[in-house]
Amino acid sequence: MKRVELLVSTLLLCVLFVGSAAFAEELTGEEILARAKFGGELKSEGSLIITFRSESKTTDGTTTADSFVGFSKRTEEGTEFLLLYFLDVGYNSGSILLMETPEQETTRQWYYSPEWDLLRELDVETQGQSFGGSTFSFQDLGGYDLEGYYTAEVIGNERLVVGEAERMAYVLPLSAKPQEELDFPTAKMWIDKETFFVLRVQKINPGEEVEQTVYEVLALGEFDGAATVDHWLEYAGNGSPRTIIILERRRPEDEFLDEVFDSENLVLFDPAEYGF
Amino acid sequence: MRKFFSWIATHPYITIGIVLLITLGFLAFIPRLRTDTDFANYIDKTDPSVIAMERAEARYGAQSLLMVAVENDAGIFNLATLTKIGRMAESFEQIAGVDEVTSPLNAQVITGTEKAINIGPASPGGAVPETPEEIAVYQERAMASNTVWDYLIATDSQAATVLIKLKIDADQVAVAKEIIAIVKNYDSPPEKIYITGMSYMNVVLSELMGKDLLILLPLVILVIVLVLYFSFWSVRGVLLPLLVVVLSTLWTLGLMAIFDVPITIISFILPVILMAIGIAYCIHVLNYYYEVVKTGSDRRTAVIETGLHMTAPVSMTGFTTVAGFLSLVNSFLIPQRQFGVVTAIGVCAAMVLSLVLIPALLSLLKVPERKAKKSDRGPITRVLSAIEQLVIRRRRSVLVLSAILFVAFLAGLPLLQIETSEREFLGDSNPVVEGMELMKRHFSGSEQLMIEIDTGTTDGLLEPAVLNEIVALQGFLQEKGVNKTVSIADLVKEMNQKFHADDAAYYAIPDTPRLVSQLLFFFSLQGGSLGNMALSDFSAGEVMGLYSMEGSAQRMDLVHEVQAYLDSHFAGSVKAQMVGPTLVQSSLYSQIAKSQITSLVTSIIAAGLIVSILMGSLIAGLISLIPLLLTVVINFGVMAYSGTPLNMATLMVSSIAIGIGIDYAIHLISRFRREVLAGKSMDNALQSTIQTTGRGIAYNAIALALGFIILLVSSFKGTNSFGLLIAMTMVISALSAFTVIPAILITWRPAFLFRSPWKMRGNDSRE
Repeated sequence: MKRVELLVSTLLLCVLFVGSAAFAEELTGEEILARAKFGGELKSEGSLIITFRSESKTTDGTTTADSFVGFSKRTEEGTEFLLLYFLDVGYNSGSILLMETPEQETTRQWYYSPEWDLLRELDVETQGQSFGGSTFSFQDLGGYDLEGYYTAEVIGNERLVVGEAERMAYVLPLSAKPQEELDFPTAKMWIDKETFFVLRVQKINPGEEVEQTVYEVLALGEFDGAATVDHWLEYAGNGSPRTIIILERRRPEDEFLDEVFDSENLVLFDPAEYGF
Repeated sequence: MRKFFSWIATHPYITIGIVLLITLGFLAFIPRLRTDTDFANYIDKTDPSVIAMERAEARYGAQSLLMVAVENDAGIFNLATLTKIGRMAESFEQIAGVDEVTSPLNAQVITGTEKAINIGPASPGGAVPETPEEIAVYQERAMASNTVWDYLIATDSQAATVLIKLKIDADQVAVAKEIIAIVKNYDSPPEKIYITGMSYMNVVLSELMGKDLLILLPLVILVIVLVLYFSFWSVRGVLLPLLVVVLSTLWTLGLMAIFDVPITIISFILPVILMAIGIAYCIHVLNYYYEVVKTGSDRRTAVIETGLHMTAPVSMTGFTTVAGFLSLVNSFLIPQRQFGVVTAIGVCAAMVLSLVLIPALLSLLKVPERKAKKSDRGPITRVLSAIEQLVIRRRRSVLVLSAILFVAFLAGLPLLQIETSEREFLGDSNPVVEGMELMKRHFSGSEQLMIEIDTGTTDGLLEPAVLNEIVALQGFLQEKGVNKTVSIADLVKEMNQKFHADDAAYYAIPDTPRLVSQLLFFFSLQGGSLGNMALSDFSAGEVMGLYSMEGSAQRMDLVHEVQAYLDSHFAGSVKAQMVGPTLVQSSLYSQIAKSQITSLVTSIIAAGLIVSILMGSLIAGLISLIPLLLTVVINFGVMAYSGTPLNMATLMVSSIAIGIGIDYAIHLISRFRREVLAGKSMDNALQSTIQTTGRGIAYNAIALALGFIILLVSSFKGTNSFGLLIAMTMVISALSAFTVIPAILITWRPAFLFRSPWKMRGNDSRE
């Protein structure tokens, strides 16, 4: 279950980490951190379908695979929709999570349980709470900023092999700001010099030794002419599963109708119409 | 040996210098001494209960919570009280080592309607409701929540509690101190604030131990000074022994620091005990020196003769005492083992210093003009004369009376209780116990029972059959007095109800794991925290129960009943086992009796063997044990009849009493045999023995009894009982040595009395 929550949170974060890929040089650690982004960009103008597959290997050797499909759209009025369909996620298969974020407004969310055949709106009061047991809060989902949590300095550049490509990356040691209590109070981060994608994160223990690689991009992709991160590894530590995540994205044949994202219609949503 | 003492007499400054150097060496380490008041560290890490607890901590986090309870007789649903609670909780959250703070304001409450479901803080945003209307709404919401009402807020509305979960790697003491400091800022009428939990107890114990020592040490020194002054009527008679016991205490503390042996709730009285015991050796040595001086010997000769003649008796009595303390290495409790070893080392240090430092210092001092001992005609002499006449005239009556006493107190043994609870050791007025009382008064109690349910398979806890087993287990626990239980089954039932527009008909476990899973997934999506209720893969989780406890026996009964239930209901693939503090305490309880018997038997055998070897007679060894057995039985009998239970402190009384009390038997039998071998009649031999050695024994016993009785001023009830019982056993073992041993020797005239012991230099002590 927690595995599923982690994946969902990752997916949602992907939506929200939109940073500038502008060329820059002689940037400070803080500036680089401000531009850094995780995972792939899922948001784009118009409609988008993202399949999201994960393979998790637990410490006892068990392997599980889950898959989701995200249907996203940005309307002309600036409202963003994301419908997350739980395609093959164990007991939660068939569940739907819908998010609607009108421009400059708070996100509304609905959950549909196929087993109970019940639709319930998630109360906005929960927005400040932890999301799915992670250190991310619902507020973070609306704009998690690394530089808000960490201080960083550039200690050099390093050439990394990412899939079949070689990438030059800034190397930044991160330290949690004094008031912040984070899962990873100290970490080391490699950020692509060109795209500002975070390519690798290592958790550093108090003895300044590498404790774990908690995030690593395994391959870069391309969509609509821009670089994307669609294949990466995540590890939350403490006995949690090591997860490899693969994203695929495509444009639907036709733009999604607004009705697709109407909460009242969730009960009728059929992924088969989109080939799933 | 003569060469050794000649060298000391010739080189007193070098001897003193060496002693001072060693002392300085140990002193340098003393600042490193640390205290350890964590009861969890008192049991061996290999004990199954400790292994289970550590495994549970690794899987679920801390197994023991700190609780801060706020009591207001006028009720807590008012702005002032709620503000205090809210502000305190906020402050606790800022502490670095705190993992999670659950207060009546921020506790997650689930509400459901036809359209929406909300899992949020009991008070909107976790903030303090300010207006009367807001408070009324909050009260209604709190009362309707299983996670707040009767758990964080008492059903009488007069108390509320904040639960603080510490990080596993946090400095528990430092965190507890910060919490105490915060609580102090808010602890003012009409609210009373209490803290409970292991970390808090550790801090309180450390503080009380420090305060105790500040009082106990000057008191024991005062008693020693008085005893020495009335024994020797001279300044040197006071200062030399005092120097020896102080130095031996410093050596022992330094050694503890070097080997990182912490000061514990057991060993913090070590300085008091070492001083009380160590003084006896000094008295013997000085006493002999004065006897030699009285014969007209010069200073050097007196010093050498004293060293030569006192080595055997001081060593003999010292080693039996050491054996008594070392018998504690069989104890189940780590602090008792440490206490046994370090006290034994301290006794050795006192022995060595009394035989080395006192002769060296005497070599530098003028031979004293000895005044007549006022005590020669004092009450002790009169009492001893009366005892002597009693034994001579009515020795059979003495033996019969002893036998009657033995049987009478032995008959009380079945009444002897074992009590390992903190309450018994700390006493009712201790702030820790007051906090526990409040939890008992207003809530289900502060004792935490944790049971781990492990299905061994991912999502196993989502199976309705498993959840229903958990529900049944909770029902059983409530029948057995565990009034509040929390589990994932409760959460599933509550989510089911709230998901169905708060329809009470749905307060049940759904029929399929898929239904359960989607409820819990929804709960997690809303930011709900599963805490200890389930691991992230739902393969295992904990059921937590709160109860109040009257005594260890009740807790043991509960553990037995729960274990039997778990054995019969979770015998298949789903395993259930108790973990946490209750299991550790019950393990302590079950081992304490075994530990007591082992220590006692070891000390008796060791004492008997030492006496047998030293006196060259097994019979002598057995006879020396008789007054000790009488003492031990009377000790247990008194405890049984007075309702004083065996606890962590009183557990050690018998072993220590044997170690110290055997000295009296050794002195008395040795002297009596010497008098018989000198050709005296039995009655005359007894008269000489009682009036010479007997007086030494009497002074020794009185000094020790007074030294130990000081422990009555300790803040801990367990230490009070320990001091009183040890003092009592000192007097009893001395009295029984005066009466029972002579009565046996005169009546049966054992053969060993009429032959010389092993040829040992200096065994003709004139103590």
